[in-house]
Amino acid sequence: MIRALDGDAVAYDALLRLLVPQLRAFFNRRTNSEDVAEDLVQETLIAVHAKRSTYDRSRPFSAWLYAIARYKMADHFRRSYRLAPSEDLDEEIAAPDFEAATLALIDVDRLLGHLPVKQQAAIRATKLEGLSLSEAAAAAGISQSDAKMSVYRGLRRLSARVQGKVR
Amino acid sequence: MIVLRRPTDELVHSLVADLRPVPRGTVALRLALGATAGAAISILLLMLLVGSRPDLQAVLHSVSFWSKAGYMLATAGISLLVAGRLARPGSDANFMWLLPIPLLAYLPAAILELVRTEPGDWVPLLLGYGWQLCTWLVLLLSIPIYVGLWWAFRSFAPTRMEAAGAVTGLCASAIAGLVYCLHCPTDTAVFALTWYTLAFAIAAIFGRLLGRRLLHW
Repeated sequence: MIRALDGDAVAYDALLRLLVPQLRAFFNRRTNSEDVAEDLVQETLIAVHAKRSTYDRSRPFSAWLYAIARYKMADHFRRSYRLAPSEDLDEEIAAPDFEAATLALIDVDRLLGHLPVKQQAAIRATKLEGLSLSEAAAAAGISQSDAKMSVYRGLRRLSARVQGKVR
Repeated sequence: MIVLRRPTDELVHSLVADLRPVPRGTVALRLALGATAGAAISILLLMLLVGSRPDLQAVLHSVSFWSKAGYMLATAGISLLVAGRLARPGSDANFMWLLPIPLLAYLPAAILELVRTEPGDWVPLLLGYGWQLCTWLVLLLSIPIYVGLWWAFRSFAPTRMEAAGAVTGLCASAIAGLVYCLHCPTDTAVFALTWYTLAFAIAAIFGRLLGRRLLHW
């Protein structure tokens, strides 16, 4: 994010792409409609963009991001029910475990970075974004068996890498 | 080759295309700009309405004048700092407890004045010269500053709107109090702590009420 604030479009692109599946998961687990969740993902992305000057470079990015996401969430509930006071809602939707999960996702992302692009994309689509094999294959423009092989090889390489690190 | 493009991906594309670098300290700069512009209008308003006090040159060396102005300045500075915090989402560190420090620091001066004065003269001490005007003029002068701060907050992302509204109201009235020091003929601590603080409280309450409506983003 800091590089994005300095105007690095490549870093910004990578960051936003990383955020999309995370925000999708965040909102999906708090709303019962995928459409609503997707709207909230988009609203949060727009807010991240429009309000990026309020990110304090010396503070954790995830705290800032999820404060925005929670605000958009509370705002959504306010608009749809107009009864619950937002201060309570803030507490209700705060999910500390999710922030830990986010950091884990960033680690996963770092690990994925060591794989060939095709394997990366296949694992990301099937394991992180929850697409089916055929959807993932279509998105990447490769055959289904090719996608399956990519996932398999990528996972094997990842596990080798993680075990190597542990030892 | 089939490419699945979801609207969210398109959005990411357009956001990346719109990226421009953001200099450090943008929040502080914008707050300062809003406050300064508002204060300039307030000073102008004060000069047009009532003018400065005739003995302004003389009191620039007086301790009681500067302790009164210091109370305003400290309150304005601290509330500006807290406002800068509240402008950012996820700043969980709470600095609200800093706000009453100037008041507590100024309080002994008021107590000393009361001790030194005969109880029979407490009422004139409290009313000073111009108590009828003080609170209302400070509130009036705080309006342009509040507008300036609101302009600054439009690009911010406060997640605690009531707190942010109250603190901007307090900040606007404290700066307005500082401006009003140019006119106010009474420099006693009892007077300032009563009537200026009353203005701060009213401004904070109004700010809190307006916060939810005006600071929404």
